[in-house]
Amino acid sequence: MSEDDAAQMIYEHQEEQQSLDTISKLENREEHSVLEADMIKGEPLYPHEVTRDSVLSLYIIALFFYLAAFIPPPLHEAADPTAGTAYPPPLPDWYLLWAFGCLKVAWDIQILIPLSSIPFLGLEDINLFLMTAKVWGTLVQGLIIGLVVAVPFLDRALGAVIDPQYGDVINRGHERRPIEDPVRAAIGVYGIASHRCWKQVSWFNI
Amino acid sequence: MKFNKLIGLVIGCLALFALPVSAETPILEELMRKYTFPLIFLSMAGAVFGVGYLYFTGLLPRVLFDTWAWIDERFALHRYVSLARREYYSVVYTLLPSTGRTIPQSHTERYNIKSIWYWYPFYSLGGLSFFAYIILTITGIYLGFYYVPDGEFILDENGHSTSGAYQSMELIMTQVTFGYIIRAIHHWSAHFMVASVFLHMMRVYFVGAYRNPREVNWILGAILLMVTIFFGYTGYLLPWDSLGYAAGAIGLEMATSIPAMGPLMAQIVFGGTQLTGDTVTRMYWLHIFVLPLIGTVLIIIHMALVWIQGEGEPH
Repeated sequence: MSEDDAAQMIYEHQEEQQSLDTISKLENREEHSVLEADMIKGEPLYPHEVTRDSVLSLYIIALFFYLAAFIPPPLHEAADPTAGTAYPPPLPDWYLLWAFGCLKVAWDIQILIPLSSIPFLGLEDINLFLMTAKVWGTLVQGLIIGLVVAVPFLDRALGAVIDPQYGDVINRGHERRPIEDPVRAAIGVYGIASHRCWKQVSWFNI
Repeated sequence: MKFNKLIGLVIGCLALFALPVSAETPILEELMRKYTFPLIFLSMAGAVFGVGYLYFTGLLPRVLFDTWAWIDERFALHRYVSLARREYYSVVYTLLPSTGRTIPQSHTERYNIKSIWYWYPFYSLGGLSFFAYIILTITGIYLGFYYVPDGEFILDENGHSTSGAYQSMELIMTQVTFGYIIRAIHHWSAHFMVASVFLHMMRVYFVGAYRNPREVNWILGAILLMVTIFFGYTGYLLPWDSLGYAAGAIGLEMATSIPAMGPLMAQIVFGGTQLTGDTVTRMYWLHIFVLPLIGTVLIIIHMALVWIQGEGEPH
């Protein structure tokens, strides 16, 4: 087989494939396009988001090299179980400060009925919550995480209270700017503010 | 064809004749020391010349076709290629039925928006955290070559408390080639990833993109946020310095304070109700195997759902 024959064969094969693809994409575009369904309207991941991300990722890798070159990663002295409590005590990383703050707040709001301060009765204090502050702090963190997970369903329930048709009609695939949905935006700002407060609490009184 | 093989044989024989024979050093070491960079250069030049030869003689399509046919015969890749191509063209024809453009309109073009562009970085935060995850994987593989998950407390020559893990961290920071910069990039990528995942969740909340049909993706994202935080926690405990030890003490307190199943949780995550060397081993295994496995699977599902459903962007 000469080279011309091979080139001719490849050319024919490619032509055949292209015509087959054209036919299949014309025939099957209705049933194979998820984005064409009326229910789902979104910006495509490719090429829009991939383009944006790949442009920004160049800036981000430059930022990583810049930070890595000028700010050294911390390595403190080695762990010593025999050493006493350091002052000031080391805080966790910034993204765990809210959990730390939950524990501290739970410690501070522990409510006791001080029966032992009444003389001559010989009674003991009663812990109103019947659990220690540690347990409360951990449970509060679980509650916060549960609220975050349940956001779509809480949103739907809240909308159903405001407008009975909300969950079925307006809610379907309609994302809106915060200004168009002030209740949701206010709840979100409140969430961020309370997160910030937990964080701030972890810096107090240590 | 015969002629090409003959040329290859001649070049190979010449290369064999060029081997240095030395009595002092082993021959392989001598070879590596002298000829690594010339060989890299030669192989790159050979690749360029080989492809150029195929291109100018017109054999390149034939070679590519044969290669593709060899792979396709074994793995039937044409199914998936045609599927992907069909999906791509369906998107193109959906968004642009009448014009001849090959990419869909952008958000600004479709809605004739002039002023919303400065929100676009917020829509990229998910992709950027995935990018940081890839960088963390690469740098983490390099750090894993040198890190030793040994948290047993020993005394160094000055009588100070230390451990194998901490000594390996010192080795990485001072002795290992590129160890300092690789650890720094790992550190900053980790902080960036946690921050961008937080901000990504806020963006999704404030544009209401968690609504129907994206509730499942919101829940997956919340789980991924917790996986990311746990990644960070296990990661900054690993050097086994004073900060990591304090963080371990706090986490252990939290784990044991869970009612009824606290000691079990402490045993699973921390390897006991006391901070010992086992804690570091547990954290190491969680950090390098368990969490990457869970995280990668969930990220793939998360991004597949974004691919299917599109991205919720208000206008």
